[in-house]
Amino acid sequence: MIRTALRGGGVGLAVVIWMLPSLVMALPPGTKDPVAIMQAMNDRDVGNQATATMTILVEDDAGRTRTRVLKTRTLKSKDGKITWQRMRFESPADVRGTTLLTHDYEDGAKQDDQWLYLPSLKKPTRIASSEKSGSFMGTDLSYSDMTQKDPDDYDLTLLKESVEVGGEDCWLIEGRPRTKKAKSETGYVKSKFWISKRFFAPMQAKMWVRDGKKLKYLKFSDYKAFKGADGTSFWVVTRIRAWTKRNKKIESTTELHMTQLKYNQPGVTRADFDPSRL
Amino acid sequence: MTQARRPVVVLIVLGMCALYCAAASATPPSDDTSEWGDDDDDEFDESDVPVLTPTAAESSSPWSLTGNTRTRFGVWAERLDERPLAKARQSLDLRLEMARSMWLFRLEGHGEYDAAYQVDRDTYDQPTLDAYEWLIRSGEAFGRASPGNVQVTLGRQIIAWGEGDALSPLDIINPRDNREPGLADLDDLRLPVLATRLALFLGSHRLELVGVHESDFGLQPSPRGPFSPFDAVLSAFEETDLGPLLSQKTFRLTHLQERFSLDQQEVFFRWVYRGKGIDVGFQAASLLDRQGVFAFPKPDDLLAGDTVDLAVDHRRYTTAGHSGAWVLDAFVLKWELGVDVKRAVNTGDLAAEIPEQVSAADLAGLVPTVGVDEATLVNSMVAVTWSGIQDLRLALEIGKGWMVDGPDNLAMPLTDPLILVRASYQLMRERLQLGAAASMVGWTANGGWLLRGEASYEVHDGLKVGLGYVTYQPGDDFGLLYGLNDHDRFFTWLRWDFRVL
Repeated sequence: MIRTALRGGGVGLAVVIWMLPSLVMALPPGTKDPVAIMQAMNDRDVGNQATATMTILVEDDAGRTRTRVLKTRTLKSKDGKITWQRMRFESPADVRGTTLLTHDYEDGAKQDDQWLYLPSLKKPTRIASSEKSGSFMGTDLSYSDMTQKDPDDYDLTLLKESVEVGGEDCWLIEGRPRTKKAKSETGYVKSKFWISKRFFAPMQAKMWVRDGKKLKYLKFSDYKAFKGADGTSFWVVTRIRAWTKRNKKIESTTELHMTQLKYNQPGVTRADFDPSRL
Repeated sequence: MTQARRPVVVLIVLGMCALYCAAASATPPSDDTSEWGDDDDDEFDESDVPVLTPTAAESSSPWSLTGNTRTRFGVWAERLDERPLAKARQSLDLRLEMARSMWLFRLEGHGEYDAAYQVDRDTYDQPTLDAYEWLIRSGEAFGRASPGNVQVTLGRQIIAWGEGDALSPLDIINPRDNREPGLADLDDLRLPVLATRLALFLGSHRLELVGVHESDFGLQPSPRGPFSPFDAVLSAFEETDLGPLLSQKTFRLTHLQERFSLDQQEVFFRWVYRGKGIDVGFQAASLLDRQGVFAFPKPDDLLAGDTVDLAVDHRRYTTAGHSGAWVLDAFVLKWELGVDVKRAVNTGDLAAEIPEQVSAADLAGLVPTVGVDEATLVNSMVAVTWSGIQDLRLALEIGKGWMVDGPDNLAMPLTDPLILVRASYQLMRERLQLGAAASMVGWTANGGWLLRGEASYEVHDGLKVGLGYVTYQPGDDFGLLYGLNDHDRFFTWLRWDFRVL
């Protein structure tokens, strides 16, 4: 089950990377260019040599809950073109030890490398990373939600220059996938992002899911400040709530918490991401 | 429908299911979002969203104690009128682990009891009860140190090589639990052996040297057990005048090699590279044959004494091989190629016809003449896995052997192709999983085929239930499925995985 659950590209600590905006952004004041805003989000400093614990709680429409706990670590190459990510299940007990290793290449033309270690198989096995619109470990998040988007793949529109969400001044941007790749990877007809001008990160997002004509909502909160290796600060979201609606009825809800977040850990080295060590 | 055509029909049905899923997935729905029945476009309604608070405790202790307990029931589908209970097995697995810094210590134990053997107990011989009723064994029990680029592991351990998921001619280090072909859980399939493992990591490269110090040839079906191909050979005599005589005999599987012996040490070496776009590996080994060759009892031995030993000789041979894996979009291609040099093989015909009128005096001419010879064999495996549709995974594995040098009358189908097709589909956010697997021996299934379908459901974190059906269709040739004429079974299981520490 986990084998299929973990397929997809750019996962693991990508969720952390995605949520790590720097305060220092080279964006003209009063900009109205949605492409520039989205690009600035992608270009931000995301920290490095990170470790974290990810706790995920999923509840379905019948009130049944499932909990997943993962230990994650990530490392970026010096040129920033490769992100190495490792994700290891701690619980529940039946998947404990299952590990996903991803070598995520910035070059979109290059396919990510992924290996899955299953304790029952006792060896790492190479897996395909092409399926990104699927659910991330049975949650309301998809693998696509956790990877950076290339603004060139979307038609972006700035709908509102200023809208308040959770006390934060935000841009409201609509994105419609333009390329076949973006349509296939996200599974969304369109998306709306409320992006904080202070955090340079989403405060909330709403997606129109093509398959099943569902609506997906993401809410980001509990931003915390960390210091990078160069002493500059950046904000990290440590809580995500996601839910899926169909015909105005909530189908499922996901709560994701990041704890024990640490950056610039010297113990996080390239060797941690060698598949031959799995 | 002829037996040869059935697996083709199975493959067609599996293919149609896959095509249906593909077609359903490929139908492009409208992109008009007014059809979504949404609240206002910019509205972000959080009012009815339940508040969830993850409370999973994070343990910082280097110690952990985990385990699982499984309850499994099986019913013989083709023996409902006689003795339908095939399995009522309860098992418990425990693992104690300590991981700190560069050290890892692991101690595992496994115990199982099958109550099905209490029903009509006197119809089972002692070797069958020994093989299936109770089993208590240690699992992995090792200590590991990983200083820098080196890793040393000493103890009873499982070491999986090769790339194949189910078919893997290069995965030869550990013995297997072969008692129930097609039914064993993946966790139970490989059995640990006492070994020393030295690994050196150089970037994406791994060099590995393994010494195996224990000659363990795995768990095999007892000769008169429910999944023994020998039982079919012996059963052929039951309809003859020799039937009453043979029914009083106890047949027992023995191994000529001792469990621990200095001159039976095995050595394995491999280099593996896992890097950008491709994984490749090369390996070589000098080992004792896990399967072994046997000599059928001589007629005098068959008639004299209450117990007849089927002695298996696991002779040493040398092997070398290559494996690889490569990904293209949603496809994963895996392959293995190995050569076994001068491996001992059985020759002769074990599936001989027995006339009904036969006496003890005729026995000498009827006992299958099984010889032993040496052969150089090339073994290959090619596998393709496709995961192009969300929640669907299809896999095809083909194994095939070739005789380079050796006899042309092999008793076991070592060169016959083995074809395995698997499909799995997940629903309800991975809570419900449907799976099917079909495998056949020989391009036309002349060695038989089996089909297994299963559904499993996650009731709660770590708690799963499942049910399924497996059908065995043996062929005319002697082999793994030979004689499994009425072995179809329904099965159901309950599994709970837990963590104590």
